[in-house]
Amino acid sequence: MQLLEALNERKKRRNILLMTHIVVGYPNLEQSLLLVDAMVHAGVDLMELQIPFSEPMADGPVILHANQAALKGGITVEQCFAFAREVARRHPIPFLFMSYYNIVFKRGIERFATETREAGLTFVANQ
Amino acid sequence: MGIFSGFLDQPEVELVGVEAGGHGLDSGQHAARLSGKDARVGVAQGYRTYFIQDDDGQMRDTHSVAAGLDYVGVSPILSHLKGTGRVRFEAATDREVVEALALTIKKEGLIPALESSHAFAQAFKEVASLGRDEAVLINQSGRGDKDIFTIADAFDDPAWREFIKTKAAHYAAT
Repeated sequence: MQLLEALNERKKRRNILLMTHIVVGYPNLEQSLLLVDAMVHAGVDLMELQIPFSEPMADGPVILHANQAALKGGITVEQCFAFAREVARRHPIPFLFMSYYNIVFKRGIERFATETREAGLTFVANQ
Repeated sequence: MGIFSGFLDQPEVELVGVEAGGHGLDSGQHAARLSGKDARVGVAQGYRTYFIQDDDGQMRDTHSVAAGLDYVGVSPILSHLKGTGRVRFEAATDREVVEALALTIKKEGLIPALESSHAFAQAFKEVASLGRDEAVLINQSGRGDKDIFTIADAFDDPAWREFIKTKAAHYAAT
């Protein structure tokens, strides 16, 4: 289902939708999965999964810290895709990738877009 | 662009850029984007250029004795001039830079910045291979007196350490 359709469907039930955001791999992958489960069960309408980047210059200090901690923990882009596939399989809400352009550029724009779609996500780039 | 800008259209003048070789180009602890093998094209911090990054596109840590060179990216203009071949890029290691700086201080009474000392180091390496009628211009883009504590650490001079201790003790007592 396209993102817009999914949002319009949900807006039939409530006027204001709630989107939340996590940095994948912060504080670690296991906790990230628990966070997604908890948020979905609490009723969020859609979620942004941030692929950590070493230079998250459009983020504030809190998310900067989460990016750095996740990278220090060894998170890879490959693991973020596996994580995305898992949460998209578990939960019926829309998930979006958010990251920085260099991550997409390095993987290859076509490849990144294809893999994102195959994982069941929609991509939103930040920078 | 500094000193390069005045010579870009004079093909008889060779332009050499000297990057931070840190602990060596094979050490993983340097900031040589154009002269080393560790940088790849990327887009970050608002521009596209060579960045020292890993396969995922995450920026790697860099190292240089010169704080102003200790950075993952490089000017896109310089990347272009590397691509066209107009500028040759080399790297000088921390050790070579500190040695060049010591020589410059001793022989010329000049204290170039640690960044500029990279140019001196490379010029000293190459000058012996030049002809007598060839001239070398070194761009001393900054002063080293601002780096005095970093330079002192790099020289590891016991007399300097003793001097600082004595002065510190003096100030502590007053």
